[in-house]
Amino acid sequence: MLKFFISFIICTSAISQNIKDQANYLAIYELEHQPDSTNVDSKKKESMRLYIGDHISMFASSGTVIKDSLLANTDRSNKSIAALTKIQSEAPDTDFTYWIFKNSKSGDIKLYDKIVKNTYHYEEVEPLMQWNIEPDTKEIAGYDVQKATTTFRGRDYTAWFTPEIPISNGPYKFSGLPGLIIDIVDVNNEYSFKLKSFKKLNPSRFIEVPSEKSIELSREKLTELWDNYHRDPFSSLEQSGITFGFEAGVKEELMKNHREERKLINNPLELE
Amino acid sequence: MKSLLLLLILLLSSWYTSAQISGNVKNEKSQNLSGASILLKKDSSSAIIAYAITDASGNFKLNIDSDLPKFLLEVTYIGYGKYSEEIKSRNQFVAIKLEPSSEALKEVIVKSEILQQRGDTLSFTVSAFKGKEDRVIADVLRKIPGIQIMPSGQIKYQGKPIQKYYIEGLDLLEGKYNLANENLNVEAVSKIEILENHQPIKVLDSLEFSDRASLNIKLKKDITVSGTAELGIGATPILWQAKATPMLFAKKRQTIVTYQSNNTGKDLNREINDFSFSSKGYEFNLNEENWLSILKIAEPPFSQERWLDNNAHLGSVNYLNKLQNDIELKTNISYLNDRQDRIGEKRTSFFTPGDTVRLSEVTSNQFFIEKIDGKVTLEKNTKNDYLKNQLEFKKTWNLDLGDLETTESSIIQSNSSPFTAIRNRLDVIKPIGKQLIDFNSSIAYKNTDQSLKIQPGPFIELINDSVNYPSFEQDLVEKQVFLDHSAGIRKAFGAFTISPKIGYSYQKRILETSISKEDIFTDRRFLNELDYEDSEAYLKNTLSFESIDEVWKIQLSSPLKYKSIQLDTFGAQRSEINRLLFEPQLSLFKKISANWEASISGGLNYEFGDIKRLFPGYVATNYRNIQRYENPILEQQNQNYRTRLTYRQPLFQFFANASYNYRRTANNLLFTSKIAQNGQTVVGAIAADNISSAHVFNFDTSKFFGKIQSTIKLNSSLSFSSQDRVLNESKVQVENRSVNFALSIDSEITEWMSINYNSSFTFSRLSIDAEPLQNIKNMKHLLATYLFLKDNQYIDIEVEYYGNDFETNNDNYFLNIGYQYSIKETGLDLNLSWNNILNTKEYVDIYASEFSYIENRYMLRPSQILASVKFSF
Repeated sequence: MLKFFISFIICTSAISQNIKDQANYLAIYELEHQPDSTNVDSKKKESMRLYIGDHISMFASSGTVIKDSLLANTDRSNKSIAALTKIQSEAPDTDFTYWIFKNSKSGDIKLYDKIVKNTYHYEEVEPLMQWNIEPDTKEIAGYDVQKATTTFRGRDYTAWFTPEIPISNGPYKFSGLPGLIIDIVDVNNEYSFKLKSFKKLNPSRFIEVPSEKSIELSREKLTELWDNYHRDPFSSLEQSGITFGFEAGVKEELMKNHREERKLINNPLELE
Repeated sequence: MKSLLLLLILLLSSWYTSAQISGNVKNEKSQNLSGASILLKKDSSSAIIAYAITDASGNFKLNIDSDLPKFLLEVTYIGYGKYSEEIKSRNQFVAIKLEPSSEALKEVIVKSEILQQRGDTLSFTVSAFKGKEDRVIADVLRKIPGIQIMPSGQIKYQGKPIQKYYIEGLDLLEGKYNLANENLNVEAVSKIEILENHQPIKVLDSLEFSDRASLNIKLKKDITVSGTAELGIGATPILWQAKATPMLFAKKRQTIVTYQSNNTGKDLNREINDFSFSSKGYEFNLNEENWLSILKIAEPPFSQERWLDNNAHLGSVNYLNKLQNDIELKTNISYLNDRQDRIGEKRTSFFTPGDTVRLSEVTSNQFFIEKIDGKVTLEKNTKNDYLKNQLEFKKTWNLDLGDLETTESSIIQSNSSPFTAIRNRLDVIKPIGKQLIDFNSSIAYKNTDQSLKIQPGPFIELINDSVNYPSFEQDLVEKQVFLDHSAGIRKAFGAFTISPKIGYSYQKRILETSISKEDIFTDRRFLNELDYEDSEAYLKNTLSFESIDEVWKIQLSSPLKYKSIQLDTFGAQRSEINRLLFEPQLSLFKKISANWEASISGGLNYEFGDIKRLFPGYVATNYRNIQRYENPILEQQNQNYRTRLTYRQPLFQFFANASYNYRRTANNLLFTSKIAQNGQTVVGAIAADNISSAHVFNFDTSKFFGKIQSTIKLNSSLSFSSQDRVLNESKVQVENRSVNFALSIDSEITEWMSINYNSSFTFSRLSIDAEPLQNIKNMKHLLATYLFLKDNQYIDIEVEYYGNDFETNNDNYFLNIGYQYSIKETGLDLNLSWNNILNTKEYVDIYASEFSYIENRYMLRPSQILASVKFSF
């Protein structure tokens, strides 16, 4: 409930951008995830996008990408509430607000995320995972694929990649195979990415790395900030100058509901 | 031995994988290719045995972990043709050159993306959601996904307040939908429809996007009768609260009626909360202006239910009729009758040059409040036309009676202030070409006829040659006419937006006053006949600019007005003002870095002739204040400046901001007060240019401490104001200085318990001609604990302390407990509250006013328990 309201506030200030590379290919994955580890019925689906450039690739949810490009193309002078909320409603909902940039030249992976008004990022160095190539091959979506397995931050994954697309990349932070990952799923079936489309972009699209205004931190610190934010979103919002006038008890009840909602979201991709 | 074995194994394994292939990949221009895939296979159709990816300089290294004698080496890279070569299983270096190829990669579209559709009408069948315990429609609404009902009764859909609450497509209650939502029996309803992104004004549909949803309640039958009732009792003394709300719905007609009553201190006006969105355009308010009053004591700063001794009745009738040609006619009328008793004491110290006048007044006041208000709305809302005309009226008959004891005398006061107001507002939206033009028109009329009677007669020196006299009466009649017409558009040019608006407003006020003693008119010094006209033609325009990267935001508003004021007294012209006014306002915002933000703004505006400072004959506003203004029209020029600096360190959850405000007002009038030993004050003004100013500094900081799950906030402010006055015939400079510190801690001990603590300290002091007077110290500590026992149970405990220190030290302690329990099976809601458990008798407050310190003692409601039950029929 609260999420819609808050995502609106966040939406009103798009990450300001500068151009770094041009994406020639777009891979769209369907992500199926289970936000509540104790409830198989809590599974949700959404669409994720991987834009692939010569050196830089960008991975984000379709909701985030669409919202951001709508915002960027909106006449900035006419940023009325109506125009912004229209964007809010045109872009699909997303549970994932991060942007992941992989740079094949420098071998680093940067994850950007935005909490209320601030953009944060952390940097990691490839390779983040060691792959074991298995002899199994099959065909998925017309591509000849081969099996590979890995362990990444508390989960064991089975991936299927295709040498037919010689791009050493994949969804999320996954990469390092001699071909694009077409399908990857963890052994508990709590996170799965399946390729739904792969096409050449014509014309190519700019890959935009957020500006230097982002605050650099560690991966652990970002998790901590999100936890703090979810614990008490109101004080985070108040601290950025958004004020609320609550009657006695209203805020406490809202917070209680919010915490109960958060209890059902307990299953991140990276477990450690 | 062991290490030898290990060495052997190592040697063996290195021998086994000894075949290492290294190499380099370049393109046709001999540039290194990074990210190329090197694949090692048995043959072209088999699976990959080993692989490598080239590094930034195009190099790779590959270990062969197989006993095959030869392999197929393949190298692929986007945009280049595949390179294949058969190699033997041995250590070697291969230099590979790739040739460009236009062969496209195989594309695939398995399925189109899942994108959600919005903007639909969602329909929910009530029977699917209805539980045994659900009685009214609000109970079912709560269960519908995305719907949330706030404790105030406001409905939200996906976190945003709903826009309209329709019943069978008709908007009977406008914003007061609580009345239907909390009282319409769920048995009568067949479906609830949620209209997402609903634009209620059809002309704007598809032009102006709406983010809000509206609700439509569909009923089972063409004609429906429904309602609810609520009853509560308590002690001591005997307390009651009652409420009944019957309603009737037919295809073209809808009616909701309510009756409510209590003596528990609850404000009944809140029961008919209006959640509608305010319309655009200039508003002329319909509130009473009380010129005359009996002596009152300021209200305590906490919940009314702890101090208000009332006996209130409220009735409301709402009726809607659907006419022909898409026109709807709505009538909403409510009537309030209340009697309030307020007892207390007011101690005032007036500071004049060289003297201090002290006054103690014990008051026992009774307020009889009777009010009727209503509105008639005619609305046409079609695809090509939007027209809404709303006629509002309000009539009050208030009578205030006050018995007052001072150290010397006892005084009886009575003030009757019947009041009438009517306002008509017309909003029309017309599409002209691609632009929408908004027309707003507002016309209002107000009339009040007040009379203040005082026994024995006050102001004896002024009125009766210092001889006592038994009775005094101040009569005052004021009539006001107001109109405002405007038209506006909104347009964007690149990074700039302009929104010009042109309009004309006119205001006429007629004031007639007279003072009589023992029903005989006094002389002309105590009479007024004033005719005041103020007309204004205006062109308002706001220019805004926002840089693409959001680093800069600039807004300039530059209203241009031509103002003309005409003042006549006793039929003859007294003064006139004709002035062209430019009132610019500029604000700048800059985001300096991720941590720092700064803003600065400044503006200029003018104020003229408040009619309350224009009458040349004496008017007594209460038993010890009499005013007369034989001065020209008041002219004020205000300059406002504000600057603000914000610092955020989100990683440490630390925030701070500092701001400074400065206001400078140039006046052409200097106000005079003459205070007699008995506290009777004569107020006036003389023409003399003077300047008053105010400085306010604020510093706020907050930090979250994760280990103790608490947010600690610290606020401080320092304000300093100065103005010139004439007190008892000598000109003085009155300065008011105030310092405030506030601390708050919000803490969640566990998931079922949270604690809020707030405290504040205020020090204020007046200085007269730089001669400081005594300090006033105010202190406040509030501690609230919330316990969520189960889903259906909730307890809140509040402990409060208010203290102040002036000539004596005053401590006020309070304790309140509330408990809520919902019995789901029977549909009954039980509410138990125990207010003022410590049975604190009075509340004492001290504050600094213009040139006086005032100490108020307010008699509170005694300790009381109230139990209430709610059910529906």
